[in-house]
Amino acid sequence: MAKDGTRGAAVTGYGLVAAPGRNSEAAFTNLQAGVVRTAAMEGFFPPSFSAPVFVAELHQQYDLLPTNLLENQPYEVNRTVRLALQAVDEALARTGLSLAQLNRRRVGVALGTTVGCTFHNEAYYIDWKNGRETDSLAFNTYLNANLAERIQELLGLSGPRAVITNACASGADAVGLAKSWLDVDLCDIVICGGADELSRVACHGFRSLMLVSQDRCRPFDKNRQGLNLGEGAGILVLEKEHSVHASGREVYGRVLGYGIAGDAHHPTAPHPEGRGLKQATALALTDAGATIADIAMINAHGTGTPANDRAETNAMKSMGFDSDMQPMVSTKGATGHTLGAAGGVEAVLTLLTLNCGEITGTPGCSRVDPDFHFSPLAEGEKMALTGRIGISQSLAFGGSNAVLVMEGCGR
Amino acid sequence: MTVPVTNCFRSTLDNLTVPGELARQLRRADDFVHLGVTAGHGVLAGCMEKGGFSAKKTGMYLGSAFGPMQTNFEVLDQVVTQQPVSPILFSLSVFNTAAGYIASILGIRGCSVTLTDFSFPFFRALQQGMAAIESGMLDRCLVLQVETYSDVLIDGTSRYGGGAEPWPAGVVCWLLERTALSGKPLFLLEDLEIESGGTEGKDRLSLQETVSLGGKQETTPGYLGAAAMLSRLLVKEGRLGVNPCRVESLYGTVCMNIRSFEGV
Repeated sequence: MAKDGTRGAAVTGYGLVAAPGRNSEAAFTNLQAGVVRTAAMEGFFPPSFSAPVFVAELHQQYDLLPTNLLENQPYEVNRTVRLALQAVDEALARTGLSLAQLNRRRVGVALGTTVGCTFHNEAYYIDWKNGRETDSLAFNTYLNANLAERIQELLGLSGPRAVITNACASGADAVGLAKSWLDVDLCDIVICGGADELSRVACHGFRSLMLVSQDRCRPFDKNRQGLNLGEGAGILVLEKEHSVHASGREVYGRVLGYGIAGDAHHPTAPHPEGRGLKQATALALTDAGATIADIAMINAHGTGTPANDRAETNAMKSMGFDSDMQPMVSTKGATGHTLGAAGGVEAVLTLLTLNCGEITGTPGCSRVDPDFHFSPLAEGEKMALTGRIGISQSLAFGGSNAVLVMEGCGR
Repeated sequence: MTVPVTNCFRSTLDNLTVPGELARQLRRADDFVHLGVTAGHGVLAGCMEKGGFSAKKTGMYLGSAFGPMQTNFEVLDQVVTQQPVSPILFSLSVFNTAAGYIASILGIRGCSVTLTDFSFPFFRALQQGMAAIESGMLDRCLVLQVETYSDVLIDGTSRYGGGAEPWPAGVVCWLLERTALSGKPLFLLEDLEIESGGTEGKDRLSLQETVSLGGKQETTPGYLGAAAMLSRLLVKEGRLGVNPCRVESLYGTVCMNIRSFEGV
């Protein structure tokens, strides 16, 4: 709850780029229609192993940002920053604010990423390893690749900033942190969410942990074999509700609550009963002033790994959620696991679902695992929502769990 | 609101002494995790023994400029040389793995947030930690900065950084408490503000941070410099009272008030 006693942060803009679409409208339409677009990326996985990946369509035809934004920079702008900019542009265009207006306000930037903050330039590394001259541009590009700093600098914004690197929960944690900044009046507006690009390191790494499905991923399915990796960005613009109303601009929804908690269990596996997830969910509901009965849908982390999907369904069942009243889905069968972007991408998709009033079943899940105590919605199924409040949840390496409680505006 | 700091830990990697009781749990860990866990244990062990430790109301904010960069390159090496990637090495290369180890080993079940920024990572983590204490989200909060750098970064710094000296790997960790649960505070923090300045990437390689406290100034090189120096000034030399503290660098300014316990 904010210092002034109000609950939640108004969503005045949202943007998304991921495999289902180059903007939020295209992505959501394809998600509802069951369109799944995977690609086979040569060399991305170890030799003799191949798996689908989900590639986002990058463009630079911005709606609000200057088209020449990335020209004449003294460094290259990496793919993660470009993905973020594409979603930021869409989100800001919806706010009805100009860049000049934004530059006069305290605008925070809170973004999650994983790959986006690593120095994974293979050519540079190979040259260095072999004692050859290295490319100073690559080095400088890395030193200018902090996601929040770059977005702040490119847009000329001044306000708090944070890059959250909480692995796969980074995007959700960034949204939660952004809400807390508004609660304590650290800024007026926050651009938040997550962005991440595909990388060979992540593909080989997840494969080494035997978490990658060689075929299309099937979250919650009886025969699920693991996750598929993806890339993208999901961005929300959050503002204090009263300042939006004063300006007469549109509110698309609200982030009502946020909870974060740890499993204190294992470096890479979730607690089997979802211990931290339950605590994070309880905290988020309390922050939102909501109860389980208020929740109309759950957008699960739903990676398609046996352990993740079991932990999430166990946690929801033991907390008292009812799959007939609170349908649970995963969207990763359409987006892939976009790592640090996932929490942002899924927050946008949760908001669009709440505003649509109907939820679409989990892409890739043809038969829900009968061993689950809580039954998610399968592919091809649809259900009308009974309310406007939903949950988006993220689990991460390190046992970190983040939960957002969101409210739609019913359009 | 005033936030008490009740314990501090700082060490370079070269001087790090890992407590024997952690050795088994850290047998597969890299330097980044060793530094983080040892520091967390160093500030929390005392209050855990005293009891009254609420796992759900204890959390952490870990800041880093470069994360586990050496381990990242070890994984990249396996990828580019087409060796099988070690699952342990890959899991250690994830930026929040140290936070996960700290939480798991010390039984912390509140928030664990890793923040990555080339500018003032410790103070950005500190800002969030203070807010978490002020809002009541946490009763206890570890605030850490861990840096291990890498051979690739050291080489790049010597090539492009204008002859900057290599920085020593190390850790700084402060324990914040909602009220001084563990006893008398070392010092109290108020009104932390961070102003970011625009910096072109390579400028950071010759970085210097100047700490002004109690009418004196000291300049330090390296990414852990200001946090480590401040810890030393506040704890070892007892420069307390009611002091505005200012940390200045090419990439911005940090301002906060630091008070002695007696000064309240």
